[in-house]
Amino acid sequence: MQEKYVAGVDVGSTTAKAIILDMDRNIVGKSLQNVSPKVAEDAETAFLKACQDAGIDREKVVLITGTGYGRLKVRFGQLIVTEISCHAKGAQFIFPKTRLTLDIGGQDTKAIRLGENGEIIDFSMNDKCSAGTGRFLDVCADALGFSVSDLGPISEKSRRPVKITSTCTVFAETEVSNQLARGRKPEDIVNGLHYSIAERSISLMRRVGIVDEITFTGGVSRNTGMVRALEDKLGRKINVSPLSQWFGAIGAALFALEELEKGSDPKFMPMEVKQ
Amino acid sequence: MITAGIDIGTGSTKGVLLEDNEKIIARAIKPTKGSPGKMATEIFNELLETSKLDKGEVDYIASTGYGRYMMEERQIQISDLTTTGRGAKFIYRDKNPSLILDIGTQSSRAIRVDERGKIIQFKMNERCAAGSGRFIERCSRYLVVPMEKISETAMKSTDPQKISSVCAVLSETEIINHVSQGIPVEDILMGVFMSIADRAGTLLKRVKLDAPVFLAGGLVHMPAMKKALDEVLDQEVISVPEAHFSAAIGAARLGYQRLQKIKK
Repeated sequence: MQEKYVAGVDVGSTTAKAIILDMDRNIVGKSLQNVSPKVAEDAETAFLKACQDAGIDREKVVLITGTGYGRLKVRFGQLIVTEISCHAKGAQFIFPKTRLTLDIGGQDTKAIRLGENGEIIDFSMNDKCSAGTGRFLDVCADALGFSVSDLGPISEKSRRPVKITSTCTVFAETEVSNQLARGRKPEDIVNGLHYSIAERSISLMRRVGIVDEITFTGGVSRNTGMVRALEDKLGRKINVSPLSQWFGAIGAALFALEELEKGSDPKFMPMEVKQ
Repeated sequence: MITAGIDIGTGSTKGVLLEDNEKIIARAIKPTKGSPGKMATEIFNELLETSKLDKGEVDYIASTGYGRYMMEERQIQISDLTTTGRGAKFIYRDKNPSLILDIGTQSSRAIRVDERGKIIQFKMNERCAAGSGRFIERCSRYLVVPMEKISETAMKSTDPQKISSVCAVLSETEIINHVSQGIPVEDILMGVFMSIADRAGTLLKRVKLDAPVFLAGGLVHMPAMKKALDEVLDQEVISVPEAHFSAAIGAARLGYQRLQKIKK
C-alpha cells in the first residue's frame, strides 16, 4: 500500500502551526510559523515546513484540515473545523483523561469542558479584551525590557509577587513601569502578572465548571511561571506538554484521519465547514 | 477669602485659586510626571506666583483626583467624582446642566447632578483603556501624529473608519491593517474618536440620556471629540475649554463651603 499522511494546520492570530500524522496516529512532522498580514501564504509555509520536517512530499498528504482564527485561509485543505473542537481533540489525544482545557493564545483565552469521548459540553471565551491573553504578557514584557520567553525563568526567583491591580493591558503597562520606578523587583512584577492572568483564567474556567483533569494549551502554556501560578491558584496539578502549542493542529489532523477512516475520498470532498 | 483646588489626574495636574467662591484668580496645568505629590506642590507654587500671593494668604487647600492623598499641603481631599460634578455645574451655571460627561486620560464617567451639583447617579469606566484618552495617546504613538495635532488631523476626515475591536490593544492590529490598506490617517483617527464616543454613549444611556450633555475632562480641548459625540449621541454636546478644570474648581468651591462651616 502506498504511504499516506494527513495534516492539520492551525492558523492562530500570532503563529501558524502544522502537524503531519501517519495512518497509525504517529506525529511525524510539525512546524511553527509566525503570522504576517499575508495569512494564506503563512498557512501554506507552515504546512510545507511540516512536510519537510517529516521528510515527505506534500503529495503524500492526502487530507488536510484547517483550523484556528485564520482557518478559512487554509485554501489548500479539504476540511475546516473550529479551533474549539480541534483543541479539545488534540488535548484529549495527548492526555486522554482531560475534562477541561484552558487555551491561552496570542489574542484570546478559552475554557472548554469535555466529556469522556471528547464531546464538548460547554465552553467560555474572551476574545474581546486583551487582558488575560498572551498579548497582555507581550505588552508588559516589553515595558520591562524582557522577551516573553524570559518570563518563566525570571519569575522563578520571585519571593513576593507584586499585586497588579489593573485589568486592562494598557493600564497594566503603566502600572508595571510605575512599580519598576518604585523599586520593585522585576521578578516580583512578572510573577504578579502571571497571578493576574491566572485569576482571570480561573474565573473563565469557573463559568464552565472546574473539573479534573485540566490541560493547559496555547502559546502561553510554554511559560513555566504561568503554569506555576495557575497550579498555585487552583491548588492542583495541570497537564502541560511540550506539544501544547500544536494541540489545535493535532486535533485538526485527527479530524482528517477520521474522515479518511470513514472512507471519504478526499478527491471528491468539497471544502467543507464542520460545526 | 482664597481657596485652592488642586486636581492631580493620571494625565495632568490642574490647579485654580478661587476668590470668595466665585472668581478664578489663577490657574495652572502641567502633565503629571514622576511623583504626584511633588507635582501638586509645583502647581500650587505656580498658582501663588501668578496671583502674587503668599502661601499664608490661601485660606484653604483642597486636593482631588487620583493623586489627592499624596499632596502634603492639603487640608481636605475630595473624590474627583464629587468635585467634577460641582465644578462643571459652576462652569456651565447659566445653562443649568444635569448630565455631565467626563472623559479623562484613564477613565470616563457619565454623571447626573442635582440643582446644587450634587451627584444623583453615575456610571463609570476606569478599567478599560478603550473609552479613555489613553486610547488616543496610543494611536498618536503608533500612527506618528503628535497629540497636539491629533484632533486637527481627525477633523479632516471625510469617511471615518469604524474600529470593530472593543480593546485598545487588539484594535492596534486593526488600525495597522487599515494603514496597510491605504486608508487615510484622518479617517482612522476619526474612527477612534467615534469609538470612544460610542462607549461614552453607552455610559450615558445607563444613567439615561434625557438632557443636554456637558463635557468635562481632558478631551474637552479636542474638537474631534465633540464632533464624534455630536454624531454618535445625535445631539449637540456642550463644551468649553475651561471644563478641563472642572474638578479643580469643584474642589476649590467645596473647600470654601467647608471653611464656612468650620468658621461657624
